[in-house]
Parts: sequence; C-alpha cells; structure tokens
Amino acid sequence: MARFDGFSAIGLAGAAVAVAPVLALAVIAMQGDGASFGHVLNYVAGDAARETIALLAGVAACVLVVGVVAAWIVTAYEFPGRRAAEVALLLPLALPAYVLAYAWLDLTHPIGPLQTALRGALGYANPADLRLPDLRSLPGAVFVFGLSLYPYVYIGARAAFQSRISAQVEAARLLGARESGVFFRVALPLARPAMAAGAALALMETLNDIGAAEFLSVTTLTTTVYATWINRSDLPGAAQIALAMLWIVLTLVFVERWARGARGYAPEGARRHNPARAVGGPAGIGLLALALAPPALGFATPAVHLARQAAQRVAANGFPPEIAQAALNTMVVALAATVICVVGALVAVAGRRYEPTSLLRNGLLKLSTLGYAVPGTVLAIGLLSVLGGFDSVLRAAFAALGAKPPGLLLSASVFAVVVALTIRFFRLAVAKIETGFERLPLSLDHSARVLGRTPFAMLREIHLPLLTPSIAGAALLVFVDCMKELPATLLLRPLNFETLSTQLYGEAARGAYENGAVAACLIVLVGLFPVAFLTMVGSARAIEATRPRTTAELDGAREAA
Amino acid sequence: MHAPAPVLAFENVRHAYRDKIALRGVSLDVRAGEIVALLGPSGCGKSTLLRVAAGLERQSAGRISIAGRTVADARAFVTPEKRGVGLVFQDYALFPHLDVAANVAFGLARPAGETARATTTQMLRRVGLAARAHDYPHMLSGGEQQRVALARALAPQPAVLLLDEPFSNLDQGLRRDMRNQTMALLKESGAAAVLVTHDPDDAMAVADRIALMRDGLIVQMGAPADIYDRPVDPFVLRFFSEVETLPATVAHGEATTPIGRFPARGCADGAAQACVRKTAFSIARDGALPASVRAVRFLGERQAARIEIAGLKSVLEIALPARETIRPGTTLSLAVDPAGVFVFPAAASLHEERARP
Amino acid sequence: MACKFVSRLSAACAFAGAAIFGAAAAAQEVNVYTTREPGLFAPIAQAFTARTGVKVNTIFVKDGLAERVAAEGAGSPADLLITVDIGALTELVDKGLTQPLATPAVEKVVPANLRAADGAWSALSLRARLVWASRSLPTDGMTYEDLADPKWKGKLCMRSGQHVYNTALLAAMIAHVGEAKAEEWARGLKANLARRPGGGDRDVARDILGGLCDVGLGNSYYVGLMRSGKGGADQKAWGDGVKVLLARFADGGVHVNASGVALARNAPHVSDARRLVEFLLSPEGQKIYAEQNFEYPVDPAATVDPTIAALGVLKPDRIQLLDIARHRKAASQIFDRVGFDR
Repeated sequence: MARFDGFSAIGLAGAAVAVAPVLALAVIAMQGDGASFGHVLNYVAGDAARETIALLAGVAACVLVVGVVAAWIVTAYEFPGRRAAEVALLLPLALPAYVLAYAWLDLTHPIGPLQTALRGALGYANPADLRLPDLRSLPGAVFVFGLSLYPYVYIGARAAFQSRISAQVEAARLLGARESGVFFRVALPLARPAMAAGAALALMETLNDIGAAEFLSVTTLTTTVYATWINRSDLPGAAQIALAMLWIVLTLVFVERWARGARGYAPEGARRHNPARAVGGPAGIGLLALALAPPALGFATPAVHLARQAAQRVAANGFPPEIAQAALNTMVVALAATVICVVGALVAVAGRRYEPTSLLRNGLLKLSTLGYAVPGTVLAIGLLSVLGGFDSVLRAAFAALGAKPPGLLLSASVFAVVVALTIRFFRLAVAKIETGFERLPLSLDHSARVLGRTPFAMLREIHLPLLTPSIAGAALLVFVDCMKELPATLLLRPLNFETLSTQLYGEAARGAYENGAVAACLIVLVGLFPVAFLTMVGSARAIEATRPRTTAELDGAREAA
Repeated sequence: MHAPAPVLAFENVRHAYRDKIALRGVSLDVRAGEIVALLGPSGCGKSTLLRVAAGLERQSAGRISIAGRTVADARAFVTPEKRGVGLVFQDYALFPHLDVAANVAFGLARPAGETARATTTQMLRRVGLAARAHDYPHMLSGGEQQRVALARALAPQPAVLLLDEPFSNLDQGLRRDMRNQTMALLKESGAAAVLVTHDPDDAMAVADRIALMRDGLIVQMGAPADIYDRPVDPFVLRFFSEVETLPATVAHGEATTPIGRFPARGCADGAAQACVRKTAFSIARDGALPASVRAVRFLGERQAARIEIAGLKSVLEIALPARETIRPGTTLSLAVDPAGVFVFPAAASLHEERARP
Repeated sequence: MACKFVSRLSAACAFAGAAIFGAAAAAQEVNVYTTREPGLFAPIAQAFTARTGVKVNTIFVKDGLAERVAAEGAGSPADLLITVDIGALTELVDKGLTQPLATPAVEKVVPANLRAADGAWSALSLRARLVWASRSLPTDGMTYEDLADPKWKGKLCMRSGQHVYNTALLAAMIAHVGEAKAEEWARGLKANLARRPGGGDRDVARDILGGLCDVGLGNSYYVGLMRSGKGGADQKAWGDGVKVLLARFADGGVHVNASGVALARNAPHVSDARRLVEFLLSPEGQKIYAEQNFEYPVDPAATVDPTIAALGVLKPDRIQLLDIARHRKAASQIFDRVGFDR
C-alpha cells in the first residue's frame, strides 16, 4: 500500500544523489584489469585488513568503555560540577582526529614537553636513555581515535540513561543491587541500541580517516587505496579496493542493526524524578575527575598546546589575514550542508515511519545513507565524474543551441562541496533523528491522522515540535563533522576558496605547524558555537534528553504489543 | 419497527500482515448511537479491525463503508484524515506539546474560529475539565487524560468513534466511573461506537452488543446477556466465567455427568463435555450432590472450595458465598443450578485448547 | 502543502545559486591548479601580480589533480598545472590533459634533461633527497645503498614507502640497478627500520634528535625550512640537531626530483599563463624559489640559498626525470612486496 507522494519523491532524489558517485566509482572500477587487485590481495590486503580490524576492534572497545562510563557517571550520580562535566564531555567533537594526533605526537615525542620534563625529574640527560612506548603505533592510534570519537557513544548512551531507564535503575537499587550490578545488569543492556549506533558511527569515521593514520604510522585499507591510486596512477584499481571496503562498512551497518535489536526495544520508563544518587565529598571529587578525564585528554590538553603554538605564530607574524574569510567559508558550507542533511533526514525518516512496510522507502533511506561508508576522497572522485558529466552535457546543449558554452556550473563549485558534505554526513542526521522518532509512540501519529492531518501536516504540527531536541542534536553532529571534513572539501572546492580545514592542511603539509595551529584553534572555536548554543538554549540536556514527556511515559504505560 | 441503516459496516474483511493472518473474513454492522464491543484475547484481530476501520491499515480484502460511503475496498482507499472517524487510544496519545484546549481543538476546522473555541469549551465542560484547559497533558491524572482523549475524539462530531482499550490503564475504582461517563458521552454524541477490549466486564458494562473474536473471526455476536447465557462454545463460555469441565455422556438429549443429569439440546449421542460455572453450586440441605471439602480459600465476597465428588478422579474448584462456614475435611451437600451447566460436543475441547491465549 | 514548500525551497535555492555556481570571470587572470602547498606558491604568485597586474587564482589539491582536471573537461578553468612531483606531472601529460608550453623561456633557461623535448612540461625547481644523521656519527661519503647495510639495523627512520619522495628514490634505484637488486635494497632498508614508517620528513629529524634512530632520509628544502626558523623555534632545533649529507648512488649522484609545470589543454587564459611560466623561470621567480622555499633553481645561473649552499655542491644523479616517472609504479609495488610499511 506504498503510495508515491512527496516523501517518496524527495527520498528518491536524495538516494539518487547519494548513489550516483558510488555508481560512478563502480564504472571507474570496471575499467581496471584487476591486476592491482591481485597485487593488493597478494602483498597488502592480509596485513592491512588485520591492522584495520585490530584498529577497529580497539577503537570500538575504547569508545564504548569511555562513552558509556562517562554517560553513566553524569546520569546516575549527582556530584559537584556534574553539569559542567556533562557539557565538557562533548568537547572533543570540535577537534579533528588528525589535529588531535598531531598535538599528542608533539606532546609525547621524546623531545616533546612531557618526556623532557620526565627526564628532568628522573635525572636522565639523553633521550635515548629513557625509551617510552611510541604514540606512533596501533595502541597509540586506538588512544587517539578513542579520545576523538567517544562522544558519538556518549551522546546516545547518556540520552538512553536519562530517558529510558530511570525506573528500572530505581527498582534495581531497591532490590539491593550493588552499583556495579545496576550498571552491568540494568543500564548496559538497556543502552545497547544507543551504544551500537554510536560505536558504528565512530568506526566508520575511523575507517574513513587518512590524516591521523598517516601521522601515527598505521597502514589501513584506506591508505592502501591511496597508494594504489596515487603512486600507481591506477584509479580503477583504487576504486575496486574502495568498493570492496564498502562491504566492510555495510557489515558494520548490519551488525549495528542487529545489536540494536528490534525497534522499540527499550520500553519508555516513567521519569517522575531523577534517580541520580547524590555523591559529595572526596567520592564526588573522584567522580568529577573521572568524568573530566576524557575531555581533558581529548580536548583540553591538545587545545592548550595548539593555543600556545597559535599565540607564538600570531606574536611573530600577526594574524593571518585570509583566515577570517576561511572561517566564514567554513561556516557557510557547513551550515548549508547541515540544513540539507537535517531537512532531508527528517523527510526520509518520517517518510518511512509513515509507511513502515514500504520497501521503496526503506530502500531509499538505506541508499541515501551510503555516503558515510565511502572515504571522502573516493567519494569526491566519484562526484567529480558525475558533476563533470553534467557540466559537459550542459556545454554540449549550449553549443547545440548556438550559444557560447558557459564555464563550469556544478564542478569546482561551492555547490559541489556542499553536495559532498551532505552525502558524507547524511547518515549522522538520519541516525539521530531515527532515535528521536523511535521515542514517539505511534499512537500520536494515528491520532493526528484520524483528526484530519495529512502526513505532511502531521510532520509539521506534531513531529517537528516534539523532535526539536533530536533535530538540534543531529544539526550539531553534522555541522561539526562538515567543519572538520578535509579530503572531499580539498578536492572539490573552487579556486581561491579555503575553509579552515583546507587552510590548516595546507600549512601542515609544508610543516608550518604554528600557522596551522591558528586555523586549528578557529576550528575548535567555530565548533564550540553549536555546543554553546545548545547549552544556552536548553541546558546540556537539550542535545537529546529534553523533550516533553508523553502521556504514555507518565503512566508508565507500555506500548501495546 | 425498522432497523436504521448501519453507520459503520465491515463486509467480509480480511487482513494479513507480513507473516500472520489477522482477519479471516469479518462482517459487522454498527448503527448510529450503538456501542459495539470487540472482545477477545490478544492477537484475535480485534485491534486490527479497529485500525482497518480508521484507515491506519488497508485490509487485504473486503469492504468497509462509513455512513453509506465505501471508504476501503479493492479499488478505493480513503486516507484516515478524510474518514471522519474519532479514535481513542489505550495510551490516550495526547500531544504533549499542546495544552488540553489545543488537544481538544486539534481535530476542529482550522483556523480556529469562534465556533471551534466554543466547541472546545463545551466539550471540556462536558468531561468536567473546563478548569484545566490550559494545563499540559503531563499535569493531568490518568483519568483526566482519558477524558481529554475522549473529548478530543468527540469534538469534531465524528459519525464513528473507535476506542482501543480505553480503560486498561486505569485502576479499578476509576475504571468503573470512566465506563459510565464514557457510555453517557457516547450515547449523547449519537456516534456509532466500536470499543476494543479484552476485559469482559468492560464489554458487558458498556456495550449494546458484543462481538467475541478468536483467530481473526467473530465467534459469537449478540447482546451481553445473550452471549453470557447462550455461549456457542466453551471458548465463549470461558471468556465470561470461570468453569470446570467434566466428562459427560449424552443420550436422548440428556447429558449424564458426575454431578447430575442436564438437558443437552442439539448434542449428538455419545461422549461430550459438560462445562459448569464455578458459581453454579450452592449448599442445600436437600442437595443431591455430596462432596468432601479438601481446602478453602477466602476471596472476599466468595470463597473457593476444592472438593472431591464420587465418580470423579480430579479435584473440582467451586465458588460459594463467603457467609457459609466450610471446613476442610467435612462433607457438604450441594445443589447445581442447571442454568450454569453447558453441554458441548467433546470435539470442541480440541479447538478450544488451541485458541486459548 | 508539500508542493508549495518544495517550490518555495527551490526558489530559494535558485537565488542562492547565483552566488554559488559558476567560476568567476575577471579580465586578466591566471588559474593555477597545484599540488604545491599554498604557503609555498603564494609568494611567487603575489610577486607576479605586483609585476604584471594579472591576478592569480589558485587551488591547492593534494590528491586527485588529474582526476579533477579530467572531470572538468572542456569547461575547466585551469590554466597552469603545477605539481611537486615529476611522476604526477608526466601523468597529466600522458592523460592528454596538457598542451605544449610553447614559450621560448623554457628552452632558454631550463637544461634539456629537466624539460620535455616536445615542450609538454618543464621543471621549475629541484629538491634533493638527502641523508640526515645523528651529529655524532661518522658518515662521510655515504651512499643510498649504504642505508641497507646491516650495521644500521634498528637505526633507520623514514616516512611511508608509499610517499612519492620514497617511491621516486626507489624508482631511481631501479633505473640504476634493476628491479631485483632494488627490491633487495628495499628489503635491507626495511630490516634496518627503527620504527614503522610514517609521519613526515621533519619527523625523521625530530626522531634522530629524540634518540629513536641514527639515520634517515629527508628532502633538502626541509633542511632550509627548519634551520631558517621559518617553521618555528622547535623546528629550528630539529634542523640544527641533525647532520645533513649529500648522499649519492654508488655509481651516480644525488637523487633529485622536480616540481614542474604544464599548460592545461583547455586553458582559457593561455597568454597570461605563458607570462606566468616565463615569470617563474625568470631570475626573479627562480630567486623566490631559492629564498622562500629553499629549493634548487632549475636555472643553472640562479643562486642557491645560503642555508642550502652550505650543505655542499649538488651533483645531481644522471638518471633522467622521465625514467624516474616510468619506474614509479614498480617502485610502489616493491615497497608493498617487502612489507615496508608494515
């Protein structure tokens, strides 16, 4: 009984845009002879795959432990400074992983400040006399990615803890469960869907990374794609490997769905009062320290290091004049992509909710989120051929009409950058808005329909107001990621168009790290805007948890089976 | 006397979900001002029938018409927003971001004019919540929320009102009040009402007619007293009362059981089953049935006694008035009310066992 | 309702589109697509604009320059394509994305082995791949072959084998000794590594200073960038902390690679593009390459920056740039085969 209406039409358009670059990539891949694939399979794939899997496993464990424990501490306990910690835990979102990698490498290098101070304290003169483990290793990479990406898990887990499990936690405490028991037996299982979703996002980010891996001497399948393409001038071969990698990501997506369990998995619990347990004194300070540790390592330490370097640079050479324009460009591009992502995700997710059995809508939603699985540069190459093809058709049309052919309309434009960012991060918006929708009982939809609302009117009058926190959360994640994105922006942007991340990369690429530090600091500042905004608008909880309580919750009613 | 035309009509409606058949051919007419209860265990298809009527689900086959207009059949499908039905949910589904007045006005013509405002005020007055117009749903008690939901559904004056387990979230005392209030409001509105419930007390208290469903079919349909007194099979009987089942032998329209002989109209000769309501027993000095008491449990107005009877291996549980003094180990003399004994063909038990939730 | 919303949305898009789409068209300008870091190209572009009034629009693209120009096709605004690596440059030529430079300055200034015979491309500046070593080590007369000597076991630092700087060096080695011996050499390097390959050239200097290793490979201009203090105080310490040797092949000279230029096939501003090429090869342009970027100018007559000159007299290897480009793919595969980055 699927109807083809505005929802399907917009979904179809979105899916077409998202799939086109991947199809273009497939076409490119088919031009290859498979020789590269054979070479990679024989000499690289085994190790690269092992390393990739080890990295993913390590990062998964790290983001889950840090994200969930942090979320638990700030929801299950009330201690001095808890609210501040709740917000601070989001801060690493503002820092790109490659910047974090660079800063930590600087800090932990044998001749960096930490080891120098340590040698001074222990009385060693020569760096060679005191060998500590190198950050440039698999564990180091796990450390950096873990610190950078745990907020994806933290956000979801915290929302789950806040909105779903209060009653169960209370019940468990009344039944005499110890705190560890409450955490492992009640909280963890109930937060499972949120944890799976967050971890999947973090792993896809890891798989997509190229900058931090290069800094940290980690060879992944992604770096293999690059070697094939850049050093062997074999784009078809690279495309083949990239498409093969897509399977890994699709497996991740599948595992995530499986781990999430059935829809409506966690019942809505009553939340009449907060079950947070007040903890004061030394124990409270201990909790605060524990909660502040991740942002201290994942944000404050590297940010202070960057700020110091930036200050040196500004003192020596003044403020780089082009950086204000770059900051503006960054905001414009990120904002445009964010708006498209959020509106599109809203329409796509709502479309499926309104017709849950529609294979068309389910399929479209899956297809349109494919972009998150493709490395940025690879996606950009696919997009280049699509947009280039469009432009040449346009030129041919002008020529046929006897008019002077225009320059490029879509290729090499801000538009291309926005499209690429939208395709890349659409999934983030979808994931966030999906969890928001899942919390609204279907009976609300049915009531609105029966009371005379078309699906679109229902979306506007009922779902939009109720989803405001989820929409804000989605916008935050997408905006911050758009701002940090490098490879696709670098390849697709027009002449003379710099964003903060391309600026930073340009400086870092020639080793002028101090100059890059100014851009990096601005990325952090711009990234703090949405976090600060959300904090102001509705306290830290606005990101996920503030929402009007449904009547179902209030009565502790369970959705009828 | 002429029967008015049905406002809501189901004709041979069938429906299947992806992996499960929910409705196997249901026909049902509901007239204006009539309250029909769809009663049955969970999974019997009663909620599906409601969703199909509202247009939230499109049936696989069959026809649904409202006020003489076909709203769904093989060709036509009227979307829910154009059907003009009211719907009250088990969880009330009040819009949490709108206050009580806005909730009630939600289904009225927009932009909200004087008339809409007046209707809202009037509806709220009728459900006794005029003072709470500007409160938000989460500030109301469960019963108040239920009344708002009812007011919201009735405000647009729908020809058909559908209620999905409207009382199941209320506690016992409140429940009785709400049943009465709801019935009064429904009668006042003149809408054809369909109420889905799994609770026979709800159904009997509110409905003009009850349609008892099992496995996607209506098993029996009729006025509450009809169904109660003349169940067509053990399933229906058991839905309304607690029974004990005894072996029986039918000969010449009479069943012989361990507790006596009873009329068995329409049963073929041979083995049969006799279902007896636990409340059919009473203590009588001249009772024909001696029984030894094994155990007694106090249940408030009644007490449950576990008894043994000659010729029956298993222990029977019966309900007796609480005022009688009964002690375990004593022997009672019992009488059995024939109106509480129902004889069914033995084969029915198979079907019955399968259909029980 | 939905339709109205969509039409409103598209109207807004069309309005914004006027600002977003289409390449800017000014009277006198040159569009440069380059893999050269923007900070290194900007000084030359500014000098050119100051001299001629022609505006230079640049975009820095790291990977995918050829793909982008190819995808843009006939409508591409690209005039000049400048790469930091000879392999990337010849790839552009091989893919038919260029047209002859056809400017007399190239033949006049650039030695024949540093430009295409048919004028398809020209080198602009050179860099040498040098051995960096701990100051305490005796390293006289060191060859690239020596780096594979087991005496350096656990003492060698390098960036990824898949980086062009290293693949180009191995490509040159192939040209010298053939694939089999080159692979043996790469295996020897791998066996000597002190840490996994990664990071950048400057990390090699930092790691030597930090006692992680004794020898490594790095490019000549990084030495200038570090020692001049342009990269900040920390990097000056790294640069000063290592000894820099003009290493050579056992039977040849120092390995050099070139950054170079080609004229895009569909260049819309051909004459201004040629003026820019002439400027890049002019004494003024070459001087900026030498002073700002610490590179070796291609013009034999131009002078080298003192920091670089102090390293010694450069005797470039006899292997042609084109041969290096040709063996690039084989070199990349050898590094994979020996598991260099593992």
